[in-house]
Amino acid sequence: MLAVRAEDLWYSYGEGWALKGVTLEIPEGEVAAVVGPNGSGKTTFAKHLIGLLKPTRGRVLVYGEDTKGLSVAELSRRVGFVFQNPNHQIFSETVYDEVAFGPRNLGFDGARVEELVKSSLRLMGLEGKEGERPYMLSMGERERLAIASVLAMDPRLLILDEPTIGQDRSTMSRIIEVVRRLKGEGRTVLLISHDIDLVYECSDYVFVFKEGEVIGEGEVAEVLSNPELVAEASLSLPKLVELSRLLGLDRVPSSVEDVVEVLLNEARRIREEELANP
Amino acid sequence: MKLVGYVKRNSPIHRLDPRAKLLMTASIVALSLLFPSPIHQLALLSSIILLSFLAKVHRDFLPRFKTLSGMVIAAFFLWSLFYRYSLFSASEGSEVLFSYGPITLDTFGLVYGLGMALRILVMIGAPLLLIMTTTMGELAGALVKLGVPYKAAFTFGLSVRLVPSLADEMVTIKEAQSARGLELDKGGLISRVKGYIPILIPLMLRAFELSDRMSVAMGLKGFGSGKRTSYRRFELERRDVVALVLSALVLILAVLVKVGVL
Amino acid sequence: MVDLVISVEGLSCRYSGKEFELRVDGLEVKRGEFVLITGPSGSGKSTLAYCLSGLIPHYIRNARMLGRVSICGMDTSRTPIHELSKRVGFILQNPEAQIFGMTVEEDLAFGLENLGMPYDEMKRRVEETLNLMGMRELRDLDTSSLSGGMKQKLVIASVLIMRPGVLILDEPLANLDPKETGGILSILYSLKRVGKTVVVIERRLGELSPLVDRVVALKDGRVVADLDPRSFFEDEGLINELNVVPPKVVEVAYELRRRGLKLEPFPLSERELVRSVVGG
Repeated sequence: MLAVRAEDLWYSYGEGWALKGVTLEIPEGEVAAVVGPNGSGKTTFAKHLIGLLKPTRGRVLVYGEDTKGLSVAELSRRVGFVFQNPNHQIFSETVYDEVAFGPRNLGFDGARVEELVKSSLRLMGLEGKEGERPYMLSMGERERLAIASVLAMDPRLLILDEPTIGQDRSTMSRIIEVVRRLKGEGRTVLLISHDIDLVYECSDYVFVFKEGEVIGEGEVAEVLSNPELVAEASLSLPKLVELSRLLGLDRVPSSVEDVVEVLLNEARRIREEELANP
Repeated sequence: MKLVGYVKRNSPIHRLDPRAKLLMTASIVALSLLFPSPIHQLALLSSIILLSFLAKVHRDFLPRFKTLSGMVIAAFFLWSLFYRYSLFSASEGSEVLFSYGPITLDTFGLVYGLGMALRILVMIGAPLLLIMTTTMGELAGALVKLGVPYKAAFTFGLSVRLVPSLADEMVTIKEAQSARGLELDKGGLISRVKGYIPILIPLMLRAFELSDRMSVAMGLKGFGSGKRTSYRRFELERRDVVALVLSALVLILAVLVKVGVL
Repeated sequence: MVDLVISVEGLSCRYSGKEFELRVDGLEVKRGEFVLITGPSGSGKSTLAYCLSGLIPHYIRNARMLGRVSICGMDTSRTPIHELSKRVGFILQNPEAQIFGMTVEEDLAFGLENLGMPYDEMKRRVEETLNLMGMRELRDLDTSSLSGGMKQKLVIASVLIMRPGVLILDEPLANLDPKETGGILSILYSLKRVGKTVVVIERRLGELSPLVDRVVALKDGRVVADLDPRSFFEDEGLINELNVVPPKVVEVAYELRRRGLKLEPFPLSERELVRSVVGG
């Protein structure tokens, strides 16, 4: 089943084209990422998936249905969109109410709302804070709150727009954990980010955007270790890829552990050489 | 995405001193008020349209009238048919064309209605043309030179600059909350108003935060610490003086005609 | 004689109604140093920056400050803010809140107008700054239409035009994409090259580490470390305590250390890592 299918999607805000003929597919259960510089159309594209924008030309299908005929509220039953800045959505008196806002809007009954709120808070490491005032939370906690608020709507497709802006380590690891967990449950995640290391670590498949077009796509390790493509998109190579190039590896490492193994082997090999030839 | 704003062009109108433009706009508006007849309004309207061509902004300016057309047509009907209920009593010598219950249409009403409808176009068109040909900075500067205290003019200019930013923020907030299932166009009046709370609260908080930071930042840049100089140069050139004098002259003549001296 | 640009003695700062207290004593910054202040959110980084720039006590009313902060020998509580602004340039977190002109050119002149500078001098400085920052084609642009990265650049330019000797920047890299980040970093590199004293508050450590002479780490309102970058990153416990994300290289180095590999010197870049492990 395809979570997302875009067919020759063109979008204009009025002057010029923000999206030019974007055609892509995201199968269910995948963690996909959209990378590219600011202004390349990443967020514009993602907004189509929840119906906030409707195509000027072409069409977008979410779980097989054309978004043109669906309202944002209807699509929000299946698609969760976490916006970049949590301060754009926090308004409630308590953390509980803030997280409950989404599921209540969807019309879930009290018991279900409570269950969803509790589990979302737990997932994002905010359990015990139900009664606190959202504006008293630190920036990192607010980001987690924003994600919890959307998770509580039980989305099949979760879209995260630049989730690591706060650079809080505990928040980042939670996010990575949640992404892995959602994937384990068969859900789909779309990550919009220019944190290339996060994308490298978390996602399976990546789409590279530039000036409204998809200039490259593929498995993360392959695409992000292609220096020409990365440079064209004004991005930098993931650090693990840079390391592997310096080490002269032909296989691209997928994680810190991977690189560590290679380095340890190298060190061992050199020591053995030194012992053999003093 | 500009609703109403400065349109950058290289035209004689753009180059005019903003004080001259302010006075010209004021004159046009004053003339429109002094002379309600549709012929005078049409003359003023034609001048405005002509100026828009001179300013090379006609392509942005004229479509605005299309947007106003609904309001203008409504005004025409309202005034023509119901003018009797306003401060006027029916003019003598006006021929009744049609009557049905409280609605009466006579020749005076027709003319009056037309005049009022055209006046709307003039009263909105003149300031609009001013805004399209003068940057907010120039306007604020002109106000200062005309004696408005600096801080007031500056605050005015600043709030204008912030409108697009806050508007963008509001759009983003609306989108974020809609994505959480908030439906703003459903339900009765009360639930709709309640629906705006999740939008207004974050917006107000952002606005407070922004203004707080701005006042701090202004202080850091020495605002209000003493005498101020101006980077913007205002010198009246010959063409500005001509425009100013002409506007003033036309205005004075018009008042004299109205009052009956001439 | 060493030129002390910033000196903090017995500083204690509290916000009314809140428990938090910032306590810093004996912090000194020498001329030309590039200092990074980092720490978890709520640790007092911004508060310290406000105290260093004079915002506290002059502008932030609900903050109570004790102790002495000197900038270029001037006591911040006793010197009027417009005098301080000539020595210290402070760039706040949100560029949106620091742009006052309608156009780029006007915004650059704003601070100079406030100082009552004569027209010719202003004109000269504006042209100079536009050239230096590579912003000549942008001079007439509407400030509300600028991108985030451009706004950040404009804010820095509008502070630099006042020619301060010290620059304090609060999270200058926030929300910027890699290209925009590169743009701001090259400005920071130039500042260092011309010998300006720079204090940056940041949580993004990777990009800045090559520039930084010193890292001052704050936690719960206290300075928990004041080290050179290498010693700073070498301390894994400290990094964990600060809840900051270390550069990937450093993460790899930690894991290698755990597996028994000795790394001397502790690597800060990919090349250094490879060299420390593989040698030569």
